[in-house]
Amino acid sequence: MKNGLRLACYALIPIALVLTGCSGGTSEAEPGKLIVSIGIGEPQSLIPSSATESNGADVLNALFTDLVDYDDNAQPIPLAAESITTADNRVWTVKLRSGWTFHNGEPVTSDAYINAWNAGAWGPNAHNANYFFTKIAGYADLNPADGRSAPKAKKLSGLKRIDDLSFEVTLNEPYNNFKSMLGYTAFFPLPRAAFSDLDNNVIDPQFQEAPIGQGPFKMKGVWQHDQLIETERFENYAGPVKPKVDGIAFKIYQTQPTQYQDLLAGQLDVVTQIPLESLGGAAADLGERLKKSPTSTIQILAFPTFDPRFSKPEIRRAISMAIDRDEIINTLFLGSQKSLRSFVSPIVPGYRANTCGEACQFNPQKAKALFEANGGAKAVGSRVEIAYNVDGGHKPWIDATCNQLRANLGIECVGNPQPKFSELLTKARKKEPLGMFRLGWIFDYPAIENYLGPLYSTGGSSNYYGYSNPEFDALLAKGFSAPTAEEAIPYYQQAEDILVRDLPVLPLRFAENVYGHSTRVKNVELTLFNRVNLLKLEPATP
Amino acid sequence: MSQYIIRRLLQAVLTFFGATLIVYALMFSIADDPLQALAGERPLSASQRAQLTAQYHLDEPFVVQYGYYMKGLLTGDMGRTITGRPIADVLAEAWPRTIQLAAIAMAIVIVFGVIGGVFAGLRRGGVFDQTSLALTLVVIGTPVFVLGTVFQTVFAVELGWFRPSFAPELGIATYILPAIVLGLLSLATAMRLTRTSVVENLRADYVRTANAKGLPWRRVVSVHVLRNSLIPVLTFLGTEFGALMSGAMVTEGIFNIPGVGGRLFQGIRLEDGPLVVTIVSLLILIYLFVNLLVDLLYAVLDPRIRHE
Repeated sequence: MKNGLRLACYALIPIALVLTGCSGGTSEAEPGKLIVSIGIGEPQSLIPSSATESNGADVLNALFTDLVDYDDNAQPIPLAAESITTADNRVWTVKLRSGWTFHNGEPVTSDAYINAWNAGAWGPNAHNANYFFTKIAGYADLNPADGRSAPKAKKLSGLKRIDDLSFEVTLNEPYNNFKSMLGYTAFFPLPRAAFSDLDNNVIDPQFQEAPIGQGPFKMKGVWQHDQLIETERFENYAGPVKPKVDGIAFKIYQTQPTQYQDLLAGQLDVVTQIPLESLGGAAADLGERLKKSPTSTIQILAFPTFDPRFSKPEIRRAISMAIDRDEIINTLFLGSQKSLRSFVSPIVPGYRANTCGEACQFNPQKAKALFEANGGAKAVGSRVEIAYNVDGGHKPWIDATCNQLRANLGIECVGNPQPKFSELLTKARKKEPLGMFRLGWIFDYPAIENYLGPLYSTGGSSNYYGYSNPEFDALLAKGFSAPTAEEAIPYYQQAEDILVRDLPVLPLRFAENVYGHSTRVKNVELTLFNRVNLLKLEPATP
Repeated sequence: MSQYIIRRLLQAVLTFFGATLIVYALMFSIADDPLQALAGERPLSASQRAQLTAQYHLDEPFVVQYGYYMKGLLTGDMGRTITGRPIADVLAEAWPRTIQLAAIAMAIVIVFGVIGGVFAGLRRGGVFDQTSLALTLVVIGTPVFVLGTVFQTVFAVELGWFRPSFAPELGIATYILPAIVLGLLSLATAMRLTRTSVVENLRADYVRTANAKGLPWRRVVSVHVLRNSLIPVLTFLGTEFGALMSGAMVTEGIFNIPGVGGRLFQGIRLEDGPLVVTIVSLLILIYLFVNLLVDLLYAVLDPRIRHE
């Protein structure tokens, strides 16, 4: 056997060597220049108002600079804007810094923002980030309910140019945390060159092949689909912090394991998420170059309100107490996740640890007693299911959760695999039997209401389980209309306390992002959005 | 002969239409909510959903959707993927890579599989025959993704002989390691098949006659034995080329080659009917073409086979 193996290897090696040999050197880097390569997946779009998934957003954040940045406490601070002010939380005035230009030399003016936002909100463009503009006055006129009729207006009535460097945004309703929202990719400006028909909000389809922004890096060549997006330092960048590396090359990968192999082989500088299967050996492989950062992702287990078996809060509480969150995290996630015992992520202002209290503490005796007192196995039809999407690698922890319910509550529990997440959602929307189901949430911008609103308010965009509590909605509304974002927080916290009582979902975990980098770079930090902080990247001194 | 070719080409056209219809129907039946699949775990605004539904005709019945697709195809417009890229562009970039990969894999299969098989067959029961039998059994029993990951780790990461992922600046060399992985399974089968075929033919009457006539051994093997042994191998290789193209999906994923496999996988994941149907239809066409080529080669190898 051994001999045979060696024989086969020898037989194959010569041609390989000859062929690699004839193609010449492997290094394409220019001497003295540091182009940092970062692994991403193929972006769906490179138009700011359409890039809601992380790959496109990663690239756009090299090419553009946000109106606001966030400090260590996730509070917004102006970046490309000089100031963002309001008197009543409804009409906001954005004043831009002067002296900024796009990569093509066009000055960045208030029109650049107004044009970009109008295009993002324009229904017929069907941009992914369209829902970000719902808060701006006039949104409804650009978005007819039926996709085939023409919109009533072409421009948002809520956007008004004051002068070259300032504009006014009017919202439908007062919202004290609008400033926080502006740190999202959807609110980038677009140069005049991006439009093929400005009056009708039409963006040139070729624009996204080589987007022109006002950020620290500019495109070098065009988007090489499925392979590479190269950028180089923009010398006229007007931001306060200048980049310390010469460029960023986004290498496009189909799978994460390959990114990791490339990192080990020295072909890639930053892997922003180390795949679960490599976590075991990563510490040995990378040593100090293995890093962790907090993320906004939370995982929850939802009880559909249309399933009468789970209508009693006591039953939900018993199930929650029968789940040993810590055990699952330590054995399955190898510390890359942490137990969540609140209804929002720890990274947002207003988060309080352990709001869920006793209900999220593992206590099998109490759980069993509470379960039996409320009808026991009979009440849930002697069997519960947990639905999940098989394309997301969720099977191991769903099975583990089921095992715990089986052991601690004495009921039968089975996973209910759905081929895709979209199918799970369709079934939930049609109120088809699913059992409990898993759900994850990544924030759009760091604010507590960005968890509470979409997940738990009546008709919230990700409230697929149909939870509805007027008291909760009222507190949320109070929070929205409070004079400042800080003053809103007590209302949001009261709203969260209602969730503790009602337990519409069970908080399970929040993600810790594990990433790694090569020896060529240092100061590799990830932001709350899971993106490499490109302005902090530095060449490593050997 | 030409009549035969024309008949086969006409059959190919019919097969093409039949296949697109079936694949489109299958995609249509599994497509649940492509727009949500596209949005991932994020919510979709009502306005965006309405717009995209209208744009991609998602709310129309199957026949109408298929009609739109066919109309586009016949007027030279393959349409756009659900992420908005022209399908023609996607394919023009992806196909050459997959074809290069499959062709190199095929070359490896032919060179090592057939030569190895002949060698093993001529010295039946020898050391080479025994070890290659054991080795091919191991290869046949190993899933491609295991083989791919192990080769990538050993030869690219540990030894550094290759790059772990696709590097276009290396030219054709970047396909070598993936092609070896992709070809190994077929190589093992081709080797076993050639060996058996050679062993069988060595015992045939015409070989005994040739020997009796006093022909040199070299000529007996290269002309009589080899020519007759290659017919079953050729059949296998013909079907295998198509299998290599579609089997490239896993290998392309491991080595990050932006070929057809990755696009097909993405298309299926996003429930992107037109993209999947176009790729699969082209796969079918190549498959048909290669098999036609194999049938014609039969006639060359064996004059008794005539295509009248």
